[in-house]
Amino acid sequence: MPEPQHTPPLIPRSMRVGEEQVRAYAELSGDFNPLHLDEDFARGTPHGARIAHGTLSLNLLWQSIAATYGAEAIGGCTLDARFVKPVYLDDTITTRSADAEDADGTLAVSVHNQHGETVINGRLHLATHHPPARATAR
Amino acid sequence: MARPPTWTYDGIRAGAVLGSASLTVDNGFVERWLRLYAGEPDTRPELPAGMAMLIVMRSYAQAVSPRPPGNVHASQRLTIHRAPRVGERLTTTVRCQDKEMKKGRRWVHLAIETLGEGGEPCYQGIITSIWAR
Repeated sequence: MPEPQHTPPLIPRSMRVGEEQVRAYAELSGDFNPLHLDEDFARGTPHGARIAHGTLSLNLLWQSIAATYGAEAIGGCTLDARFVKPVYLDDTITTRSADAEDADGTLAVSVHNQHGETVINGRLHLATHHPPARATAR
Repeated sequence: MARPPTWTYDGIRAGAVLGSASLTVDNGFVERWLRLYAGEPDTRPELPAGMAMLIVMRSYAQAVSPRPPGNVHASQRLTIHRAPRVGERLTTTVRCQDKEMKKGRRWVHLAIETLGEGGEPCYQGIITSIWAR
């Protein structure tokens, strides 16, 4: 009897979120919210300082998913994600996942900062199970 | 031309389409993306998987505008049906799935659908935001 296939954990991806990255992302996304770009404005908000766009970190998670399972496996994937903590300028973020999926077939995924704090929590549902990552994935 | 009214919580009706926007991603846009996300494989002619949310958010920002300053993006759910191609015209429609007041906060759940040139879905999802006013 063949062994059941398991979803392998994510290949982690990291990114330093500096001034250059936040400005480049604002240009790409068209989101010029002063919370991301204006230090004086951001100082007056509950965050106390500029924060990165939430989806800048979320995109890294999708990148990690594609690197792990292959771009061809992305079709049919669903990612549920919740922003739980802001990412500040000069933070370094890294994607992670559980070692295996839960009984409901979803994989717990997340993004953490350099202090080990969770900034995004999520659950990934892959349309099908896939073999472990390709050797070329970084 | 008069500026359109801001989308306030009271002005959003559950079930209503708030707007739609079209976007065509060219090679230059993808190259800027690949410079920012250096680890992303270049999958052209298909768009990199990581670009999905960028396309959705850019289209949403265009379709539902202006929004009150201070909205907070709280969570989201996105399904990728297929990767669009470079040069493909993508049309995103934003509909209010539901809205609710909880603990004095204005929660808005927006259903997003991005269709490819042939009319088939590329991306579908829900964006949940706390509306500022």
